[in-house]
Amino acid sequence: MPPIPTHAQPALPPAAEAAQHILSPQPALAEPLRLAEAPGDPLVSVIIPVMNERRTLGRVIREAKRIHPSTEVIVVANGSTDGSAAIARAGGARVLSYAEPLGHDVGRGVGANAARGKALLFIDGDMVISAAQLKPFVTSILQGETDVALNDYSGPTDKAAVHSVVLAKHALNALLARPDLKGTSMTAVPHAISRRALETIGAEALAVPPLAHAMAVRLGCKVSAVKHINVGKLNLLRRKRERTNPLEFLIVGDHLEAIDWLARHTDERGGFGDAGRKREFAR
Amino acid sequence: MQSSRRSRAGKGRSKRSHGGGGKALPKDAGSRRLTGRTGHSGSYKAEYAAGFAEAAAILRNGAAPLAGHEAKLLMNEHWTRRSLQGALRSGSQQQRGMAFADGFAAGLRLPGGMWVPVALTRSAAAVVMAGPNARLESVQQLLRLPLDEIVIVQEAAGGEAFNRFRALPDVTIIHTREKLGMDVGRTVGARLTNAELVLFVDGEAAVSAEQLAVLLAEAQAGSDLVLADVSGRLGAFRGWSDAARIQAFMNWSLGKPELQANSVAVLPHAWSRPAMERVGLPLLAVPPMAHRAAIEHQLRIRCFPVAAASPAALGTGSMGPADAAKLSAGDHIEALRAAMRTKGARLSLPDGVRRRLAAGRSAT
Repeated sequence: MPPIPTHAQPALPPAAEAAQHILSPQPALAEPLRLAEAPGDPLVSVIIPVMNERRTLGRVIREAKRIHPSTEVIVVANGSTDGSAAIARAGGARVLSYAEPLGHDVGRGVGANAARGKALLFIDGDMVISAAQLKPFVTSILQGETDVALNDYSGPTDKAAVHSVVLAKHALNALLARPDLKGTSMTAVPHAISRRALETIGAEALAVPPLAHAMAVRLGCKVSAVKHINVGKLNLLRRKRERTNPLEFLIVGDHLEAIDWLARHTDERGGFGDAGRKREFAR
Repeated sequence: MQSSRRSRAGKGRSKRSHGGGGKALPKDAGSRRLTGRTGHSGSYKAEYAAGFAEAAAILRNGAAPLAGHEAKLLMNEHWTRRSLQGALRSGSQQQRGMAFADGFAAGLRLPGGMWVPVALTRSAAAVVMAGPNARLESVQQLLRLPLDEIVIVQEAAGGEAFNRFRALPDVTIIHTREKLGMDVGRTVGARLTNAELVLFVDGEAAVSAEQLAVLLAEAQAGSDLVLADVSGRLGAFRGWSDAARIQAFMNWSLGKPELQANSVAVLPHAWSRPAMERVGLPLLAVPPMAHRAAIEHQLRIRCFPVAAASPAALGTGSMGPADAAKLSAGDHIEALRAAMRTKGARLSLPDGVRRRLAAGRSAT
């Protein structure tokens, strides 16, 4: 378990990445690239980790750019062999390219480290969500309403036996004394965070989203669910893929890691006290 | 802490020592399909007759009149012997047992409908957690079972409540002036009995002897820990209490998803003594710790539906849903952390091929 930084590194754009940072306008795009016109740092950074998602990536980037006039789109291409990186560059995104896969969600931390915006929006490269749907997440951050704007999606819970990841999310929120968050989580996209939240939890923790979620809640960030987007429906194709490579164990493990952090940050009972137990009588 | 051990009701005190048996009759006892004088039909009639004959033989052999606790345990001895000898018979074992018990009672010229026998070769006891709202009926149901001992842990109870329970026959009462705190009484009570099978029950939620007998029978049959299966009653997940969600999550994380939301935190349940001692009696005071240890020790855990299982698991116990959720959260964090000491923070679940350090650095 690597140490968890309490403060992010200053998010300076790395020198090597500048070469990959292509902003040439594309004639194929109907919209002009406002990004190039915005002076100084963008207000919004949209972070898209990508591994072989050429089928949808172009559309995902196009929607991302429409969210706000001052937006940078950062694509973290890792282990991609299908030309995803080239599509991203052509679409006007800043591309951080890694030959090897970084592992699940590590791209979020990498992208956050390079981001310059005041609001950071995290989406996936294989899920097309319209700019209109994404806007509320960014708006609630920019207007200072919240530090972490979550997708108000708790998964299918109208049955007795739920998926282990849905169970883990609900349980973690209960253990964080935030049962009102139900099954919402930084594990799910889309969600946006403020720069303050990024600096509080650190970019590295974003690679383990439930850990980042727990840190945000317990380190004083305002965490709220702002808008419902049914990613379960959009996720159908992915679920098929994951049947052979189950992420289930990874994600539940992430939740346990978050609980471990919570106990180390508070006490062995997560700060919940002992309800007046006189344990000396039970020795 | 003071202890009041009532002497067993002895011979010649039959009226008193029935332990309020009249009140404790199952609700449907009167409406049982009447077939002849015995109230038992079909193959159960034979059990009634056998019970009657065995009891009558005892009286004929000149034994002094028996009653109460002693009569019940003698009946159960005879029923146990009969069960062990008997090959598979048709019908429900419990129904046959109750027919036998009724016959036995009649043979002793005692009223029927009181006893729920369980074929036992091991000694059995119950520990009752009697909080301020404890109900007499919870103990009255226990008095119908072939228990060698009933220990009532009465916390911070006033004199009136104490006297109410003191009036019951054949019980040991531990009475404390101060509150022990949630679940500490389980350890205190468990230390007061040496029985080989121990049933833990909630004094605030009466569970019928018939249902408790099933837990006891399963412990006798070799399970180390027999839990009340509450999962079937929780309904759709969106309506689950926080406590239930946390319990189910811990079960999944410890590799026991089939236990769903069932937990030692819920009463009633039954332990075998060796299992309880392996886990360690002090852990009983923090039930999720005992639950975690039971799984870690690979104890044989089984679950049976119990209609009136303590609602604590459903978050609506006497402490209120908010407090129940807090207690459950603290207990389960403590239990998960204990598991993490041996299996690591991820409880051996994989991290894939994450190159986490990449996320902490500026991109290259």
